[in-house]
Amino acid sequence: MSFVGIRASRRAATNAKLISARSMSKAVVPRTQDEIISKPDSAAEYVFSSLDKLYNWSFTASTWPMTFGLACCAVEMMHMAAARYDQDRIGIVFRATPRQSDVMIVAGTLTNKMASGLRKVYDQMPEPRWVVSMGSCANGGGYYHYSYSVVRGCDRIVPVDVYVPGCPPTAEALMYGMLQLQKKIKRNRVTTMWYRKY
Amino acid sequence: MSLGRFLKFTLKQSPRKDFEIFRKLDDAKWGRLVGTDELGNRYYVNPEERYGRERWCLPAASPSKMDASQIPPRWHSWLHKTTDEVPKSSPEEDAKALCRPKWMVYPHYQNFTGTKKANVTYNTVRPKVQAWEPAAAPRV
Repeated sequence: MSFVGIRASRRAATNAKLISARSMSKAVVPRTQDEIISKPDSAAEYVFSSLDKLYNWSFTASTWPMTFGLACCAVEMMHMAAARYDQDRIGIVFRATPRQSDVMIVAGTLTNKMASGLRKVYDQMPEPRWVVSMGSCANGGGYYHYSYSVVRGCDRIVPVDVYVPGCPPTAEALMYGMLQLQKKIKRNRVTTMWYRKY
Repeated sequence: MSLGRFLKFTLKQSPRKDFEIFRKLDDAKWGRLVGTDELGNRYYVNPEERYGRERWCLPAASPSKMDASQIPPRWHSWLHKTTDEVPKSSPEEDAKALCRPKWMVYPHYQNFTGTKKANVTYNTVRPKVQAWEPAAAPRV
């Protein structure tokens, strides 16, 4: 921690000049989360965004999905796990228990009957948790949108982070979705937000 | 990756280039440079590679900024062997060869999801559902 402190104080000296120059030159523009993480403005922000980076890095390299294979999308999800796309190389390992998983991949048609089960499994997952909605049926009902027994999108039951379109999406598309999720995780700023609050 | 393959790889180019390839591809690959696209991605081919791995791309972006959508559509079709025709690297050459359809965006840009340039949808039609304002009668 002392190392971080020294670096932060050094940074603060250079930042003081930067901030004064910035405030004189132009009006305040709201910054994206990505910008706050990559270009911190103050010493404290530098410290907390560094902590955030560490926190995010530890999650991006091991996003273990809770498999929620409901229909044909599950087959494509298995293809992502198999030799050709090999999810293992980006740190994704299927975990068959919600208690030890970070991501839930909702793969397939979510029926009314399954909805309570889905919510229960989601509630059992520890924080922080993410949800990837895979395929048209999970995104918005898809082919079964007007069916009497199907939930019109799994975002009515759980908050969704990434929607992967397709019917079913290719394993490649799901892999791209998972990489997008990793990028989203990298934009997290848990400790920076905590600092802002207090 | 076998030791023989790794040694062959190190003899092919400079250590600096080796490092770049390893960082970006996580693999020891060498081959003939086929072309460069407008974003600076470089495309290689090596017919001696295993089937399905002969063509690949060395992205211009750093590993943290790499994205599959950075590959322009025509280079994508070349990579996936939809076509053997190599896209031209400059717009002038492209126009001369008449190989780029007019609807294709040039220069290509990546998926902006998660950035300020992200696409935001909006509605232009009248809502199909008429909202109902509940007026609760006062209780007697």
